[in-house]
Amino acid sequence: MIQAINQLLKRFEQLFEMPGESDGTSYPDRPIRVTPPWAKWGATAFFMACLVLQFATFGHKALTWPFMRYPMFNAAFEPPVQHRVFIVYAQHDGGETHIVPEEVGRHFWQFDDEFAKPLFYEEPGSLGPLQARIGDWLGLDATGFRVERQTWQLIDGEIVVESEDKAFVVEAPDVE
Amino acid sequence: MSSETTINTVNGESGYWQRFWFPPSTTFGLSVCRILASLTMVLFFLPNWDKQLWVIGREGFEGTQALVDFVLIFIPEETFRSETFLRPIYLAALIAGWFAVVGLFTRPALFVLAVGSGILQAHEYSYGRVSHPEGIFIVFLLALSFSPSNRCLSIDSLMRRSSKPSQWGPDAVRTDAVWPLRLVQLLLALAYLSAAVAKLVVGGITWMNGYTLQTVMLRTYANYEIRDPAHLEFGKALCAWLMKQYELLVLLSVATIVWEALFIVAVFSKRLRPWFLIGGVCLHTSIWLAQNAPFHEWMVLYATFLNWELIRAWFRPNRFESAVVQPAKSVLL
Repeated sequence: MIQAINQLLKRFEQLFEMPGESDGTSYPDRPIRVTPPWAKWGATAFFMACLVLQFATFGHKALTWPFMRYPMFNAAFEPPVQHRVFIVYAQHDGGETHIVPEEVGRHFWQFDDEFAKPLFYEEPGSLGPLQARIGDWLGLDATGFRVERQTWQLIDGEIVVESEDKAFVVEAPDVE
Repeated sequence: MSSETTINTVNGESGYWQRFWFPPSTTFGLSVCRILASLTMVLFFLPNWDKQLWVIGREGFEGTQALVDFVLIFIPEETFRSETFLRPIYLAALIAGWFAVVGLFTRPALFVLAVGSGILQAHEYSYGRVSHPEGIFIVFLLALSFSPSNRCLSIDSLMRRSSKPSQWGPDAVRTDAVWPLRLVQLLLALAYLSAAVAKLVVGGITWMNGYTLQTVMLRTYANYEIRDPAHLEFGKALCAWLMKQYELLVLLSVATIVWEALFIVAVFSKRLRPWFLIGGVCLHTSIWLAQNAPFHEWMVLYATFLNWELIRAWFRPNRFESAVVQPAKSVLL
């Protein structure tokens, strides 16, 4: 039984074996085309350059695609377990449109930091950039904005949501 | 300069470096990976043309991507950010992708696919929103274009096999058919290590307190509910369930850091490799579903770890017995 399991495990490991790793893989009856030195040097230069560039990303913050750091989800959080979401609605022509961050070229956290939070906390000059952005990206001529701040919490294994609304009117430019 | 040689000559070039990067191998595995990479690229991962059209002409072009900066040396920004310039690149990459899949003019096609999709992706990432999964995938396509990935499972091979059977086809053995696979494996390992280092430097040990993952999942769940209500019901349900399993999340936090930091072991240890890869599939599936962070490109790249020669042998057992696996006495390097 144990022998059978060992055999099975060995077969399984063989499924992930790379050329050059096995004692048993060889091609005695076949001619082998050996890579010419210049080609080997070329390949070596290419893969070493890629590895050095990727390794170099450890030391800088710029996202120089395609060689980049992978800092996703690196922040630590402590209790209480909560998350604040800012939902922005643009008012126009009597209607209201939910602004999806990705539709104005931003990740949701970028959108929150750049547009939603400054507006909600009434920072001076926060209305103009948002109005310009959605005008440019969505073609909306907003007459006002509504920002809803939702606070999501995990309390005793239950999800609890509280929300608060603020409305902002875009003032028409003075016409002299 | 090219040469065919017997096993003894290869034995002369011994050493771990040689065995790691340039061991004798058929090109079957490399060709399978070529087909998988180029097929998934044209079907799923090629930058979306509508999105390209949508960002063209928008404000906020930053031009901070090295690849875009390089292109901008030769052409003005207005020309680069135009449909006239980008559409031919998109069409060329798409057509080249299908050529790479079927293996016609394979290596030039792979080069065009890699460079074209690279330019389009870099353009899309020049407006402030940058994402991660495609980088290594495109580097792999470029590496494939410099390798003998055209030597089998291709129309190129069918056309030339009869005249040079020792150089074309699934049984031809070469020493340059493994380095692109090894390169991708190491790039993945460095990327995972980068993720682990970032967590430990920024979040520290606190990152593994369980509350971190709970908060991340609560955020994901809120985003599902608010911004992506059409997301997989299963993903939402998994997210909602998992965020309430505190002890399990502590374990998963520790496992994630350890797994990411030590993934490089999978590159060098054939015994531990399967378990790291199984862990990787579980990790990527769970962060896709429960954290809405899809890294499907990397899952495709896991194919570079598979022993395709063995899989081929399962379908052709007699041939494998006689031609590929021999006793350990005829060790190569």
